[in-house]
Amino acid sequence: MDDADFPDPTDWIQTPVPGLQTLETSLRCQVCKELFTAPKVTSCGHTFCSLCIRRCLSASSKCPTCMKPDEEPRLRDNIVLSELVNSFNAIRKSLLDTLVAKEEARKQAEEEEAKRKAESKPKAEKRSSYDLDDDEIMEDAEPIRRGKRRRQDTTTSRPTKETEPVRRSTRTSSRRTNSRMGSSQTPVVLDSEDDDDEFQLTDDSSEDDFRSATRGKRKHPPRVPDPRTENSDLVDCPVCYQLKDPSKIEAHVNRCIEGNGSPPPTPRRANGASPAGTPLKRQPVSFSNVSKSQHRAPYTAEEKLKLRLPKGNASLAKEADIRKKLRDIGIRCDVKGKDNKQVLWTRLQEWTNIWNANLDSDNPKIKQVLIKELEAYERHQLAQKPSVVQDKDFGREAWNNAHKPGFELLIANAKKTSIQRKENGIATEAKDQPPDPATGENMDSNGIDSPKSVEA
Amino acid sequence: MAKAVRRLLSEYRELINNETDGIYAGPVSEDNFMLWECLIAGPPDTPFEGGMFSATLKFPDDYPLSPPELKFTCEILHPNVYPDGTVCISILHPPGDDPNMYESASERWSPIQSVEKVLLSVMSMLAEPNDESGANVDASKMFREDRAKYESIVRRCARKTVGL
Repeated sequence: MDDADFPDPTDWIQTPVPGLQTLETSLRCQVCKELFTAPKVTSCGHTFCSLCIRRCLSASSKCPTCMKPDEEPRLRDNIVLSELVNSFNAIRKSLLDTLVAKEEARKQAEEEEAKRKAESKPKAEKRSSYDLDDDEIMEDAEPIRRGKRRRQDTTTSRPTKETEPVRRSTRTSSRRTNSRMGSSQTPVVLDSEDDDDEFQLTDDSSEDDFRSATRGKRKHPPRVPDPRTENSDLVDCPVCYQLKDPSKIEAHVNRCIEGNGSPPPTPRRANGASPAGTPLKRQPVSFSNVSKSQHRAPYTAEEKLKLRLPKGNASLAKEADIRKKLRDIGIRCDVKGKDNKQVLWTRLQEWTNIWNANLDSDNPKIKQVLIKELEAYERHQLAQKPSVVQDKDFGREAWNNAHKPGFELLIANAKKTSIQRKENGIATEAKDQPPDPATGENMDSNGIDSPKSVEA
Repeated sequence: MAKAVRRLLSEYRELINNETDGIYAGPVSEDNFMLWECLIAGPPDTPFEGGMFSATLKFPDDYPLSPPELKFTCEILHPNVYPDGTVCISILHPPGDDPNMYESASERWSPIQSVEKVLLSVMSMLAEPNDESGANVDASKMFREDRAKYESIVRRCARKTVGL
């Protein structure tokens, strides 16, 4: 496995800045150990990839880090982290190359210096002041060896120098950012109520500065308080998964079951496609609204593509319903093995996870790709299953041969008993299940192989 | 590449690059990343000191959602190790399945645990056996009632692991 196609935090150990390892570790999901994709924060404040946490929560409804109970509808986007990951990912390669090259140059310079010392001892004594200053030597050595890298160096180091003065919140800097903003981006009208809350304690100049800075940096529209986070007393409707006031939930569920409950709110950042710069309207939470406008136009095909799927309930779902849902999506329903419902249910759950996580990502894939992913995932899960004993060195043939006498004895015994029974006149009762004692005995004794395979 | 394999690869690289004293682990072969071999050094100041205990780690297909299975392949006497070598500690038990009814959920397996943490837990398990939940009843009994005999057998096992 090449380093290049498997980036890892330990890459930074060999660079002059090993501390970057910790930085990158914290930009990675603790479940899959990859850089976060569509990071989601749980209600206890831990962050995971959207798909990872959805899978974890469907396996056990607990946060993997602190084991506090949590559920999918409570997950929130971690927008600033996804920006951080994206920008880090964009510079990662060039940063690593630059740092590694620098380290190499430093080592070579050291070696050369050592050689020079060994060659001309008297001279080295004179140059002793140089020895202390590694950096200067490195600067000397660098341009000769790699002109190309030098260019990279300057490009990566320049921005840090430039951003330094901007960080100080002086009036000039705020004006500068303001004017820059004015030319490049349309001003964002923030909800006045929210503004007051956020900036109450800051004085005018810093407020300007801060606001312009945040506006400039944000790719996403400013967050509108979400009714879900504001009010944790709300309960989920088991049918449409909307959060509702506990006192109204009963009436709401009844309406939902009749099929005319209010539609679930459209996802806030579906496909990340909400037009930048225009703040989203707050979803009205008044419940009187719901009863007045019970009838809503059905979803258009396009709207349907942006809806998160509800999880449902395994014990309530019927196999036929699950089959119908899968068929509607376009997923095959064929099942090998016994527990059909369980397999189909797992498939539907995995699809829900993949689908919902895809909606969270910045560049969603199309449905066909997702279906392929689901199939690949299942194929992988199944591919490893078939062998009963997983040990690599386990030779089925050899094991069968070694225990053949035992099996044959057992089969003979079983046959004998069944014949004896027939002779004793219990044949009429035993006729229905003559091979039963045989299988029973065999399974007990070896526990792994079915007697049929031995016979064959 | 499958998710479990990617994650294991990542853990492997971290183990190689940030070595922890007394723990060595890696896949048995390149083509099967789901089976690892590991060596755990006996913790100092215990009868296990000086031994290098070999074990295999078997990862399930849905790793890291489910915990791996750790099995000692050398002779070892310990209250929390079954006679066949399977290790019984809370970090290797998925939450929800509590065979001994006393482990708190926070000590159990969770997807954020790793091979390194599992092996470190095993090391501390060697140092401090939990005789309340005996996987090996004879060893538990010996540990509680005849500590000197227990320690002498353990020392013999430890010496055996390094070929003495």
